[in-house]
Amino acid sequence: MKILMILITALLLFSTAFSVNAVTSTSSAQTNTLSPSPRTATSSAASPLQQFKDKLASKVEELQKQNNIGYSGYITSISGNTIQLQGTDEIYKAKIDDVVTGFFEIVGVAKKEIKLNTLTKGDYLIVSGPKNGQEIAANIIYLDVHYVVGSGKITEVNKTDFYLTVATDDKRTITIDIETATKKNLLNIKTLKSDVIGFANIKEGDTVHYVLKDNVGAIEKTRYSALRVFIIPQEFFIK
Amino acid sequence: MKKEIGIAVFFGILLGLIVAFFMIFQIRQTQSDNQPITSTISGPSVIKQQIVTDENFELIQPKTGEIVESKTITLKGKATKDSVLVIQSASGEKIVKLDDNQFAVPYDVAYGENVIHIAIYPKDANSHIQRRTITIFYIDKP
Repeated sequence: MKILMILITALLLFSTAFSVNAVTSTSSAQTNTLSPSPRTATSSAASPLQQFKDKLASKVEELQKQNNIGYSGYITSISGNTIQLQGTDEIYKAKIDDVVTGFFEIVGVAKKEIKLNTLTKGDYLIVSGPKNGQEIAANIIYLDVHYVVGSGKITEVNKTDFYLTVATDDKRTITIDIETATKKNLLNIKTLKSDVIGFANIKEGDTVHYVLKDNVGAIEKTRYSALRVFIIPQEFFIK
Repeated sequence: MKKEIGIAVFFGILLGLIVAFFMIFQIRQTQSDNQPITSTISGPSVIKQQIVTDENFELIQPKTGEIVESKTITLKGKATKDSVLVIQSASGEKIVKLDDNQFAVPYDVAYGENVIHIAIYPKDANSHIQRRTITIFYIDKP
């Protein structure tokens, strides 16, 4: 009886060992297909000089990435050598250096040098330079114009006063004044080209992609003047 | 006695095999749950139909806030094949029919700030329209 019990126990252990072996070989096969083969470990650690070089290279890369980013916003205050800007989602503080910081105004395809004292509250600026928290060490500051760009559905076309009422994709209702100078284009649904059109070709229910002059300081906050509109006729969506 | 031993051995092995196969089956079941959803329609030939979500729009390049050095940038990304890509900014609009699920579209920008609105209109009318707005700067690099 004792021998029998020992035998049964040994067999159960053997079976358990077999099943565990089957499980581990399956999961390691899965792991082998997903992960790359491990690198062979180097016998010695990187030298201090090499470590310093690697750190320096990554720091330079980090600074280059920082320098490759621009920041923009409206001037809310100018105090000494600090210009506070209100961006879309963030407040920035551009730190001016009398020697380093350059000021330019964007005029068409070129830039024109200007002075700090020509900037006033409400101007729209682009600032480039390394950023630390809210502060930007301004290398170059550009005075520019901001446009509001988006799309939505036309809910009203007013042929008397030449404006559109649009339900925007971000759930706002805005009024877009179509001026004489507004560039108006329509998607040709057959050729998928952009055709120049008149105001009369715009219909309620069409989709509009718009570029609007920003209305900071305007009394009517939801009314804009259009620089350009691109209409996608509702027929495009009928399949 | 020998008969009893034999029976014990037999049941021991049988139990071990049952446990082993059960554990292997459970692991394989977990692996198959991680695979993409597919269903097969049986018929004269088996057609594999993959359910594709319309959340396939990904804009890889450029990143918002990026300073570019050239008047012409390349918008790179992924979207559903046969969609219509509409790109608009103050410098103009561009319409592209996507022949592939990846795109690389050259686009001219203006000097200064460029707020660019990109919309993907899928071929399937039941799919959602995807949109992105990015801001890039065509200015001198510091």
